Amino acid sequence: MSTEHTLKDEIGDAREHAHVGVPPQHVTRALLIFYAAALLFNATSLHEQARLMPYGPWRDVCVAISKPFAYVSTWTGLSKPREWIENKIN
Amino acid sequence: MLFPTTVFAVFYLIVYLGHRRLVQRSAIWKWFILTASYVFYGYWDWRFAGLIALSSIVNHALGVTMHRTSHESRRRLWLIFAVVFNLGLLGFFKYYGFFSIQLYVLLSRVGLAWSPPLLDIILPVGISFFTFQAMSYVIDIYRRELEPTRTVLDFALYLAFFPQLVAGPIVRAKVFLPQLDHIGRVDRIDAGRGAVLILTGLFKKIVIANYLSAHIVDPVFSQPEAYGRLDNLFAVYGYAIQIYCDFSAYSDIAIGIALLMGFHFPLNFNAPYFAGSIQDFWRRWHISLSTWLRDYLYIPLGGSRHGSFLTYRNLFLTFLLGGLWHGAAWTFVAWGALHGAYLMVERMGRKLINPSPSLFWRGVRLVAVFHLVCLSWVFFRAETFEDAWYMLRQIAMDATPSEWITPTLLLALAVGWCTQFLDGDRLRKAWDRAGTWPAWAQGLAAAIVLTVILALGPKGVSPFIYFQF
Repeated sequence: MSTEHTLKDEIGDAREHAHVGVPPQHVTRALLIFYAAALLFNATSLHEQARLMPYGPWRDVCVAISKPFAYVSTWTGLSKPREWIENKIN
Repeated sequence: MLFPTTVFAVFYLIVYLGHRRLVQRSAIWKWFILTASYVFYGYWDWRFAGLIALSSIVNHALGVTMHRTSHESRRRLWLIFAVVFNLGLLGFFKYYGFFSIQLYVLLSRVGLAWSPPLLDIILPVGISFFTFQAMSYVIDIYRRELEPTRTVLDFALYLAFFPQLVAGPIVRAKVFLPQLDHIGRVDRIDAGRGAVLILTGLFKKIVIANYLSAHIVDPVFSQPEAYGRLDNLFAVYGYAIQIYCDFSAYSDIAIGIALLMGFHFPLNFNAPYFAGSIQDFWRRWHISLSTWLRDYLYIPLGGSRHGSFLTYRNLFLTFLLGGLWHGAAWTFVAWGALHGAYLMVERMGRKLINPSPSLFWRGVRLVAVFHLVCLSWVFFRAETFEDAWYMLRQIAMDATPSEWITPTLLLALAVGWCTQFLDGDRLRKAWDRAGTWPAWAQGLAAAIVLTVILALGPKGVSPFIYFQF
């Protein structure tokens, strides 16, 4: 067995010493933009998944939440890239 | 709660925003993250949360008691108690059924008609991982390499921290706890690395692992006798790539989401199929487990300090138990035994192997190691020994034409193999570049990449392979 590999995140440590990174507020902003954009790009698919869930109150909630996003996504054309890739693969 | 699902995405957003809001207020932040981790774990079954809470309370109490005791023999007794408690917990939930059946078979062979009561025990997700973390904590305290946490809350958070809770990496207390103390003072986040790790992990899991699982591995492994040589052979190659893409994906995502919160987890995979020897393979595959086995099993057994014979024995035993750690079945023991035997033979022949061979011989060694590892995967993946033998026999003898090998399958295998180039710090330039972008560009680019991944992958996501361990 090797005794060379270590327990620490050596890559992370090296990058920390090199002061690589951004302030936490920057990460929060990027994450919120990511969630908003990812939601709009994939809203029609999410709505479709919600509709395929077993009948019950949880399905109703998911369908109700995803419906307006799916509408906006279709109306703005943001659902098109995913549909295009899926059609190409199929 | 699976990482690549909408439920987890919503969960993570809430936890991340709560984390940012509360991180300066240490006590509230800890309670918040602990509650979130228990919600994450309890999403499978709430009773599991009780189990991890029990493990946290008992191990913390044992750690404190051991630390306060100066008498060596008493410390040793507490350590034995802690090891028995942790292994007992793991043994009961994971191995009770297996050993009950083995005992029944053994007794019936010697003419005794007694069978232990068969209990309907559900295996708690991730029990092997958090038990090993708890054991490393108490053993490190015994060795005086670590001081116990001030409060049970800190220890409970270490054990239950959701990114690594169910399938590792097995993070040591001496790596995690100092970070817990400083988390409020983290002023720079390596967001580029974190985001790239999460996205590459999602790609490996959703696109490659799921595709290989559905398009060759599951059908052929479930009925190897129905397929010929090439299908069986490519099912084994497929499984080798699938398990790498599946498990390393979990580690990448875990490391990435922890990194976005300011925690550094050690590397768990580093291009394992680039290994030129089995020893090298274990420096690259599930690094947190191999280092755990080295530090808490192999070295206490004597390591390589007492001559060749005992070194071989220690190696073999370590891997045998490492195999059993993966699951309660003889096929896992066989997998561990094979790796133990490989390492023994490799050590015996070390003097015969040229340490700096030419490029050609390095390639030969890489291919040879990959195939030895593939042979072990047959036993790891097969439901029974019979299935494993069938598969090996079909590969050796059955020349029926292939049904499953398509250009897309070959592409998936090649791309899956190439994802190893993303391991380690090979992508540091991409991390650095992504890290300098404005927030809107980072968010938008990540959303576009995610959309492509989701479009390429099948509908629905199967659980990670290592959840069963």
